[in-house]
Amino acid sequence: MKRNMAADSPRAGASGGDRAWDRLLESVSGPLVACAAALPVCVVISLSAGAGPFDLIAGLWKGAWGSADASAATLGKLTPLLLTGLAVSMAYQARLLNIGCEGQLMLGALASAALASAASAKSLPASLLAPLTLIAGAVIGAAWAYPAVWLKQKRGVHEVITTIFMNTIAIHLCEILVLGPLGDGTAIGRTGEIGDGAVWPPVWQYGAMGLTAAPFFAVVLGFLAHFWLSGTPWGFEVKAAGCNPESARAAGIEVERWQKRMFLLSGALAGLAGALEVVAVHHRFYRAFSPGYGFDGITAAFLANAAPGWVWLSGLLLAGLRAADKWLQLAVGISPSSIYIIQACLLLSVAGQPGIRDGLGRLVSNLRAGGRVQLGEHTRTGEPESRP
Amino acid sequence: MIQKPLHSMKFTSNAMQTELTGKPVVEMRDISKRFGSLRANREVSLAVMGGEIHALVGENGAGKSTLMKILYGHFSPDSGTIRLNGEPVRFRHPREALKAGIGMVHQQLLIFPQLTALENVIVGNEPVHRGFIDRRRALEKVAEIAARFGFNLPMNTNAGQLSFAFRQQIELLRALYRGSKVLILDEPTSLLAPFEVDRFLDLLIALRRTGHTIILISHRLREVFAAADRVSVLRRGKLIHTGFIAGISREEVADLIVNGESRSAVEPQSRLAVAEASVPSDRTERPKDLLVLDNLSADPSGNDIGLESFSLRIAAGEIVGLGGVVGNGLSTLARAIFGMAAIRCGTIHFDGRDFTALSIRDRIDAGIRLLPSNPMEEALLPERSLVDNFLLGSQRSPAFQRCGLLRKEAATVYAARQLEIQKVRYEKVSRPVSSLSGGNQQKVALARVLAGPVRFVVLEQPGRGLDLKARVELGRRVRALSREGVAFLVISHDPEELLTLCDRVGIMYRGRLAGTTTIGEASPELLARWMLGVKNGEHD
Repeated sequence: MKRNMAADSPRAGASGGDRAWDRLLESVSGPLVACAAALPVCVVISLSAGAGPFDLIAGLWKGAWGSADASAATLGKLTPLLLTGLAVSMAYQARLLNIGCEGQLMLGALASAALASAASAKSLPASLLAPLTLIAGAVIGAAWAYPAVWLKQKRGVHEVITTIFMNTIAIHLCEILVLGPLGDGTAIGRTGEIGDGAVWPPVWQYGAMGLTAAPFFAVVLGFLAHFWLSGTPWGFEVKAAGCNPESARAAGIEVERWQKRMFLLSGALAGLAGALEVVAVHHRFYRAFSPGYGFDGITAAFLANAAPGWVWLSGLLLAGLRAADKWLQLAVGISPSSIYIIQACLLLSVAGQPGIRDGLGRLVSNLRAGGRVQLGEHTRTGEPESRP
Repeated sequence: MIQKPLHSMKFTSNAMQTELTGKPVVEMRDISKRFGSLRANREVSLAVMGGEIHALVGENGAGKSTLMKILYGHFSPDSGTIRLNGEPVRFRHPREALKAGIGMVHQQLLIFPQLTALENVIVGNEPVHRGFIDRRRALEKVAEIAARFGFNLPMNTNAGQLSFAFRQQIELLRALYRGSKVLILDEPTSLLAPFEVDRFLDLLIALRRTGHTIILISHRLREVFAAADRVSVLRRGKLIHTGFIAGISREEVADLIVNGESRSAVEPQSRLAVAEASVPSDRTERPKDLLVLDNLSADPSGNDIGLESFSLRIAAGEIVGLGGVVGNGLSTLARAIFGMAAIRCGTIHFDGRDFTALSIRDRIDAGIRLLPSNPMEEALLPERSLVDNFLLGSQRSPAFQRCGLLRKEAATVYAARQLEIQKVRYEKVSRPVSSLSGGNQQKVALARVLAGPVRFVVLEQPGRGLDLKARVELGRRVRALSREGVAFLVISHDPEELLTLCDRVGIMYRGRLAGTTTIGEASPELLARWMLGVKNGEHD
């Protein structure tokens, strides 16, 4: 028996190492290929604006990381992008697409701002008010996600459709509420300032504004999600349910229940993103609170192959683009809307990834027959069966 | 039971050989193919003559499917050449093989369930008229081909509602519709009922008569000897024999396949071989019932019809076999026992407890297991690793947990041991199940349901894709478990499989039990009569 175990273990060890390496490669190759594809586009934009070929890339780098102020701004923008990206990728583990992060984020932010700015709440001690504010955002975000998953499971309505509709409703609902009962009485359309107890002050004097703990908190959440998914039985069940619901059901996994839980978790994360924006950045809610963080979350998630452990990286990339746009205009003289072109290129090349890989694979196989590429084709032959 | 007419067919086929042997249509020379450390094909040279039925046999993972997928352009060989009608060819994609007149029907059928049978046939090659699909022309053309070869496919029914035999007809028609002259058939009869098999073999012979060349991969030597002109044997990636059917016996072929194994181990067909392992008759009293199905009616599930007042008792340690034509409620029965079908009325009792409304999780915890007929879709995670697939279903077991975290090392060791027990040919436990050959995928699915604390196992089509040796192994394992008190319900469309594995056999017909009998009184003829709904004396 003992000898048998010993004979097994080297194989297990070797394959384990292989697997980790493969997984790393798989997670990173998507964003890398996407960035490589965006590179020539950057050069073209740069040249057409009359600048040198690499001015745009240099400008982006400087705008995002060139100074303490720039880095702080980038890290500040990381929080909502990472959390909404995490929201999308957690739902996607159960093969659900949460397009409704924008609405969930807005309502979550409004809820937390309304709670923390209420007169009676301001008297609460910080140890109570601070967590309550975040919880309010998460709960309202999850609540706004619930109808979509309920409709899907009870009526078969596709969650993409419902969440898109719910976004529009949420944005207008926020407007009504912030101009009416939850506003501060002015016509600007904003809530009052939140109580000091709820505010996340800068913990690190970095740049002019300082840095709050919010981005680090978001990164930690991302890693927690990653370890929960890869290390616990529950995470295993979620992934099995996403991979093949039929087989998961036959293994006693409650697929529908996990779908519901993951979708609610996704909504809660989006709501939390809004709440953190309130407590760490704006200290109140106002109209047009989000410049589309919910939608950028989709880009962030899929740029990272929907792997929660890697959303921080794609989040940083997008946050950098966002933070650099003003700098581009001022220092390089390139229109800031060029970042949207770059972002679109990134998204396109991620969406086209299977095709790109296929093309590259074929190129390599034509250059030299055999090797890994055929293995890729081998697995592909089974696909039409396993995919709906 | 159908031996006689088939023998006469064999003579006609042998008579034709003289005119076939002229020139090879397909000539594969020195084909080698590696997958990582696995050498799937080693310098295989195979010549297939025009207008012959050429059988390709061998153990699971012997390289049959790989060789054919190379011919069909799914894989490109590491070395070696292929000639088609004397011309050297190199297909980089199945599209190119199709264009050259080679069609393949896979073990796992590629069917679009939402499209009609006709649409499934013409998909990818639709006749177009002014930018629209010309349905009338398509129907005419397909119906003409279907009539010529005696297909009876309902063209306007959604493929998802059709039986397996019909789905297979779709795939064959698709190849013929595209004008394929060389047809590669990978285990075409594995899910067919006996009379469907006969029809199918007749169809092959009709195809050959019109000049089609057929390469038939099969584990069933009876069919190979009934229809084929020549047979080639692959073993561990090497071609070790090619010759006329007339010049070799079934036993000799079986010996070649396993090479060196003792004769008794390779003949599951003969009941004597398993008889040494199965001694059910000396039991004097019937042990207590483990599973009691009482008056069970269930809604249709999947592609199958529902159950109508179905009653059955299975005792601990008993192996009960149920057969029937696909679409007569067998698969609904399997799902009902496992808690995956909607029960209208009636009860399921397990070990004295009412299980009718329990969840799948509870049934698994009670020791009930199900091997569905299509494990890749219904029981396994094809894209995930072997380890994950063994972990699936046991992910909550304390053996694989520490402080709420999964112990992947424990799962890896466990998976490796189970793969060893089931003699699965695999490269690495971290590779996905989909990278295994069809027979080895089935072994993985079997290993999963037979491992651990089991008390009652439903095996649906357990022998699917398994070679002779693996089927004998399976019989031994089932018998050994039954001696420990594990009860089995074996569901198979192959009466021979039922007769070799089980203590008691029965047939389902239109959602009801047509009859059951002990193995001593069962005969293939009786089962065949029940399958067609003919009863003797018994009424319900």
